[in-house]
Amino acid sequence: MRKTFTRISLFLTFFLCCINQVYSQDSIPFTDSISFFNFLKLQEEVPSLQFRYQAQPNVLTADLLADSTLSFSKREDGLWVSKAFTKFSDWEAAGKGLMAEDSSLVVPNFLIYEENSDLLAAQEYISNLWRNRDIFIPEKTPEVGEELVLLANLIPYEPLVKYRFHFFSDYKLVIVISIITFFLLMAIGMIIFMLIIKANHSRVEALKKEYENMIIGPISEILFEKSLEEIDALTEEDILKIFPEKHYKRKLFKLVLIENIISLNKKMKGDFKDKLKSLYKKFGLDIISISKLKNKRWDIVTNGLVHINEMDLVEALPKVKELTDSSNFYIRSQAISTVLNLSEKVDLSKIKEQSFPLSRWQQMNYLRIIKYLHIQKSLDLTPLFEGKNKTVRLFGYKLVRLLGRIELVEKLAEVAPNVADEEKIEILNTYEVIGINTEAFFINQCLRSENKDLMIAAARVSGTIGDQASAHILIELLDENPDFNTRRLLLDSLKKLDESMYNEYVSKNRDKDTLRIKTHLLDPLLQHV
Amino acid sequence: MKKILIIEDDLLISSLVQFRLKKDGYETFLVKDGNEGVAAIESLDPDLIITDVMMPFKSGIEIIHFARENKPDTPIIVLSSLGEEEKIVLEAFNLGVADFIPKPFNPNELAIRVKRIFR
Repeated sequence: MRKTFTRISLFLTFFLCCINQVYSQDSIPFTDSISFFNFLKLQEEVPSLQFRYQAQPNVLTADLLADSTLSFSKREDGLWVSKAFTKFSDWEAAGKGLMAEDSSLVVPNFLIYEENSDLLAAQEYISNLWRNRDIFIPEKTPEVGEELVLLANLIPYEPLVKYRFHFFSDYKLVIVISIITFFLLMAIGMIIFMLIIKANHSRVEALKKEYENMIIGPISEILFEKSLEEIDALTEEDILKIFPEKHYKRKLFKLVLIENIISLNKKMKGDFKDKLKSLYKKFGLDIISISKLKNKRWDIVTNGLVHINEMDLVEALPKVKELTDSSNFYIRSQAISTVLNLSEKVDLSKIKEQSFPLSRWQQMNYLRIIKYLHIQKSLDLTPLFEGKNKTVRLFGYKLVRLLGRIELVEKLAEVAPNVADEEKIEILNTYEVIGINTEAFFINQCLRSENKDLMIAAARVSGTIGDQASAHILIELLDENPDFNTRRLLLDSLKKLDESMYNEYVSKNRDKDTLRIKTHLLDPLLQHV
Repeated sequence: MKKILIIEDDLLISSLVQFRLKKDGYETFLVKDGNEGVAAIESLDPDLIITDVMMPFKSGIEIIHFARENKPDTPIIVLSSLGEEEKIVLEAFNLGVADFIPKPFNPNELAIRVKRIFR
């Protein structure tokens, strides 16, 4: 890349140098007054430039003053000026004798856009015209006589090389054409590239279909005709009798085998699953799946993890465990799911060690697996309470609730007073769902919290698992005149906890809000609103 | 020989089922979508239909409707994922299907159920 850039830079530098050289060859065709007048002679006419003579009064004789060709007239500053000539040759002819007399007394004078100008201004004006390419420098043409052949001999031979870079001198055109060519080439390149990719893709698809048809028959036969022991006893030679060697050794064939066996494994049950897993190893597909874990692309690694999970490749477990704290979300999610599925016990230590926060999606995914596995495998949730990050600990508290693990309430009670408010809210929710009424002291502590969210969570659960002290705290909180929604929640919990205290409070406080809440709570249709 | 029509868009599953049923001596026909299924019911007049629910062009429920109207005596077995909505399964039963086999399934179990239907 760097090499290409250097090459392009060098080319551009060279190209610009060439252009500069081409332009530098055209220089102003006059350097002094003599060459300037020679130039004017050739040019004959210059747009908006007129020529005249300027003379001192003592130079002019009566004859000159009477000369109608020059038509001298006196200016305001006392100098005499002739009439203006547009053609240089006319001006020169008219003043032929005049200039010879005394050049200091009679000098050329110019009119630029009818404005009086001297020699320097005229030179500057023409230089500007030349720079802006408004005039072109005339070239001397050979005089054409009768002897054309002789005349031709006078002109030296000149090869037509001076126009070789004529096209390149217009750099804007070159740039535009280069850009168009570049895009054209790119477009053609891309079309060719796409066609190649498409053709390749079609070829692979056709080959896959062919392999699929080749695989279905033998796989069905093995699954229905052979027992698990017979499949385990299959040798490489036996396999090569089933599938032609030239296809079997190909990578694509093995990939089609993987896809088909995994797809069948998902849709089959009973001894067919065991047979498919055995076949997977017999065909050496497990090596391909495990090798995918070393790939740099996350999608291939995840794909390998899915294969390991589906085909119960327990031998890959150490490598899978290495990926449980991967920085890639999909890799670590799939790695943990695989570890959960394949471990002898439900191994939650890998979740505990997670340094990345658990998303809701991950929690749902792990819950699904844990829910399915905890019935058949021993499950210890307590490591999650000591998890590295908050989301892991919150997930642990949720699991106690969702799996109904009442025996862990004691452990929860131990950690509850020392955790963050967000975790306390989750623990309170767990207490409420499980129906633990031995933790009223903790609830009352939370009711007095300055954190409103924690106070509201505690108020909500106090209705079901609070005690008498909770009822008194609820009344204290009501006396602090909270907002309407909090007031309604507090009254609702008080009603559930102690109906008599609720009635007493309502009878004492007959303000508009309390009466509205009372009506609301008594209405059976609004019970859950 | 009894004729069995298998309507299933998954080639692997249908081939496996076909292989298993052929072993029991049935004549089997495979079609891979709803439209082909409807055409095959009319042209083949099968003795049993095994159909998936989720398929291209016409669903399994539409095929059952068609079969009930045109071949009311032909028994139907629905072969479908458990994940599919309960109401679809119930609708299939209401339409009078002979059996429902959820995926993942065991092809041997399917063969036994087919045998029982023909008995």
